[in-house]
Amino acid sequence: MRRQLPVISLCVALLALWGCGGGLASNQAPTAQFDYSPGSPKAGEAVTFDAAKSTDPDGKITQYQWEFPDGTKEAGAKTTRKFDQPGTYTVKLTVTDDKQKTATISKTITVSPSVAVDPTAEHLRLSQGTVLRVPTTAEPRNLLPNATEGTWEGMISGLIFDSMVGSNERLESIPSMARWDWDPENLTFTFFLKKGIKFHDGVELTCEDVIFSYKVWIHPDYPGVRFSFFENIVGAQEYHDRKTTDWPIPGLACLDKYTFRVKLTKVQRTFIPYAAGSGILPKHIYEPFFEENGYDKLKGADLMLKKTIGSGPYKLVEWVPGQYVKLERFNEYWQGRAVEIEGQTSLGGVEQIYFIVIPDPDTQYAKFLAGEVDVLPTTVDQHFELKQNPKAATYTFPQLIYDYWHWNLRNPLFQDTRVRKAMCYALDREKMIQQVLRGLGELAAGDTHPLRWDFDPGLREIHPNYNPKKTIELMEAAGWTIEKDAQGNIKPGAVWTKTTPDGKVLKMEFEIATNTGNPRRADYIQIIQQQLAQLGFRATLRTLDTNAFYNDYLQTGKFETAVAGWRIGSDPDKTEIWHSKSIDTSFNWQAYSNPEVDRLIEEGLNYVDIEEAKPIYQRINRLIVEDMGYCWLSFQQGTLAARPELKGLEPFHPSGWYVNLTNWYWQGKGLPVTVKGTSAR
Amino acid sequence: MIQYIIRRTLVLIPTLFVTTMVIFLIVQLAPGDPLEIFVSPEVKLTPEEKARIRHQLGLDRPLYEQYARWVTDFFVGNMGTSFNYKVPVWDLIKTRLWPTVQLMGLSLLLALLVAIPAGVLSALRQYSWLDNTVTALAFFGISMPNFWLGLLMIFLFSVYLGWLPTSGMISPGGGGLLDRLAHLIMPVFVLSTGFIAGFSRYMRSQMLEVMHEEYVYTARAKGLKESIVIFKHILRNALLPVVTLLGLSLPIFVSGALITEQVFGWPGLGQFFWQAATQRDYPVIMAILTLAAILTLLGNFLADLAYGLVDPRIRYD
Repeated sequence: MRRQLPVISLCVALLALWGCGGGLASNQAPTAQFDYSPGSPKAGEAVTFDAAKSTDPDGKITQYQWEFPDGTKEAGAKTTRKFDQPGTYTVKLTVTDDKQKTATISKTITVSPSVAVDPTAEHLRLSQGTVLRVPTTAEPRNLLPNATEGTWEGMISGLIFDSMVGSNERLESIPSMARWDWDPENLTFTFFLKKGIKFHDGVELTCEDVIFSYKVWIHPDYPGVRFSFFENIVGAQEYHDRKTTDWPIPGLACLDKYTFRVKLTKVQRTFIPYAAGSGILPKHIYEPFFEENGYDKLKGADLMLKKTIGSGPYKLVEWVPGQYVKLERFNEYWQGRAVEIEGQTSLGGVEQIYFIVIPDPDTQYAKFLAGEVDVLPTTVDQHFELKQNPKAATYTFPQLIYDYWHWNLRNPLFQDTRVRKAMCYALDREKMIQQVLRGLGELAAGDTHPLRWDFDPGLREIHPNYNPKKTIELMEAAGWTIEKDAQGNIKPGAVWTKTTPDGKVLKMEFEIATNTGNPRRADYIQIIQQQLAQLGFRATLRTLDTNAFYNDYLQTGKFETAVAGWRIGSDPDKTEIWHSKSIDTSFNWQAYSNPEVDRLIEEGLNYVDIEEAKPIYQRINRLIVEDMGYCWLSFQQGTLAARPELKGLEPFHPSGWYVNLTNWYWQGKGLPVTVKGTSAR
Repeated sequence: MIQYIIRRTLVLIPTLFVTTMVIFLIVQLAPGDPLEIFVSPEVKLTPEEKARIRHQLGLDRPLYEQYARWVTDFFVGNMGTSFNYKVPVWDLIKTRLWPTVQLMGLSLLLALLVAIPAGVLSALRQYSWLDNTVTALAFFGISMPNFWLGLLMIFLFSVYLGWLPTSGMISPGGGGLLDRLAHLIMPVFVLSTGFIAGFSRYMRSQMLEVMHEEYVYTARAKGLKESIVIFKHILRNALLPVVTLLGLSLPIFVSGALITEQVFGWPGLGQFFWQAATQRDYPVIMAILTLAAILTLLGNFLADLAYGLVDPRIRYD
């Protein structure tokens, strides 16, 4: 294997002097010279060429001409140029002075792989044969974008199908396969696709594929139930309701091969992260199939294996039902993320990934210990146990989940904000995090997450923190009374009571419910019960089957108080949980209603620019915290264990530990790097 | 004989109907709206969309009609569509059947090969150290929960010794026959310990019973060789109830071993049933339960018939 340093190789500084036809001895030839920056450019990066160092001893230079390897010429003392492929390039500069004498210089530039990677380059061999084995709890059922349900499916699907828009570490949308423009006058998004993106079978991705993908998602028969992402496209609702079969609908159009236009009926900020963040399907594969079999037919592993083709970094190559799913790196991936590995650059990501089905969590753990899988999402206890194990590296990463305790506001016990605040002041949430999460978490406040762009650190200050005195003050202010001893302390076992104007006696006795199968929440409700008991609230506990908990208990408004959690998305829209119109219809289970919040939620939807939207969402969060809509409990950190030789896991993307999987590599297998010269396009 | 078969078959039919009805009702009684399971909980649907899906699934029909449709569909081979996978249930069961048959077949075979000699020997040498050891082992096998034994074995043989693969049926990337066998060792062992324990106790008591029959004394009194007495007179008769036992084991070929398959990540019907139960995939649950019920009835029936064939004392007239 040849070794070459990926630094500038200055080959020649050649001065070629042409004789002057005129033979005027008095004119001296100019000297050609140029610099370029950056000194070691990467593929796809703009390189600036500057000829300012060229001189003419007896006059001035009047003309600069650049010649690039692809045959193009450019004039001017300064120019910029991008090299899409890594390799070595010779750039020639010819300068002409005021007396028509010329001088030439050529420099060879080495462009290292960065954004685009040449699939034939030798550096691919470095990671050849590298394998990553990931345990999954269940076999995927469906891998098609917007039809996936479980975490595993989303994870595998995300590696196979690439989308027009991605997200960064603050969950802001960033261009991926396309950049976009928003025209607020006409409610129109225009997407400009990158050229030369290929599907796994080598066919180029164009606007036709994008518009076809939208057809699939809007189609009334498609099993994916995420039509709401697309419902605001002009004509989508009619097509979805089978009022028309004309395609394309008026809201979608291809302006040319690489330009896709979407017209909406109203402003929808979530269109970018959700709709445009959906993986694109190749039309030439799926259209004939869906047209023949119907848009609801996606049968079995065999078919999925043959038909799962996208433009993402990995392709599906093997599927053994009930056993594993195997992916292989797609070396012609359009952004073939080359990564810095141990000081050198190489194509990121291992060559093969196995997702191995291991339903039992104890077996998964054993499998990791036995060296049969390379990573393992761990429980908090396993995390601390593996910390002691030299054969494991342990990681923590942020998760976009918060747990909360909330009250049914239909219940007269909980209608007074002061009472809810009093109860929240009674909880030592720090202690809960220490006991249950063993410190792997932080205090939550507001319907947001510290990693998301709309987070406001001030929320933590206005959210009640453990303070028993405040609890008593607030309860008394709200007209509740309790038996106290001579020192003014609450008598053990005493309960707050209140006599209503119509003579009824209310007692602070209620139920705290949560779902089974979540040990963390089961612990939380026990601690809440104990802590409340010390301050005169008598709670009974109840755990329900997850399905029954959500559908028969929360949804129907039958609960008294409950501990639950939300996984939050990249958009802060709060309609489903906090708008009063979502009472009884959506996730506003507790019947929270504040006209100001309703107004702000509706207003927030009008802003596509997140900088404009931010103050509105921060205001909503302040209001719902002040109203004590929830008592926010914790943000939990996720824990992951991996073989110590597996590198490049951090930083984790907030959407999941697996999102940056294309950067992972095995120590020692990322070296050395050799880049073959290729010609520029 | 023919008459007997016809009579038994006629009895089977109402039994089967009652069974399917019970299965259907139990599943209907489970909490939660099947529609909420059909679409994932975080999805919001308009009432019209809900109504459309409900209609598609036939959930808007009266219960008796739903039952009638399900039963008739089932017996013409249409087990419905899995809520979870959105593909026909039979397609799913098909892929899961062979691993379970393999696992169960081997476990049963191993169990018989070990349990019969063990039972015979401990009966012949009643109260000897051998008998006591077999008895002790059998009680150990009966009282040891499968999942626990499985986990212990995984930690010993896979984690500490590194001899055997932890779970699954084949290694990623596939492997030859040896790889498959290596994956079979632990689950087959764990499953067969349960069977061996039960079978050997059964075998022992049968042997002891037969050993005290008068024809055995007669045989000995005749001066027959001890080996002939044991094999021809005792064992043959003692083996008869094993036929029943095997017949009754038939349904495990579809129900699989829920917990053992779960622990060893064995992609069989047991694991699949477990999964379907936790995810409330009603069509799958009902299909597997019904298949198991059918095989239980069939197993009983076959055992009865086989009994008649091997035991000349029994005649079906």
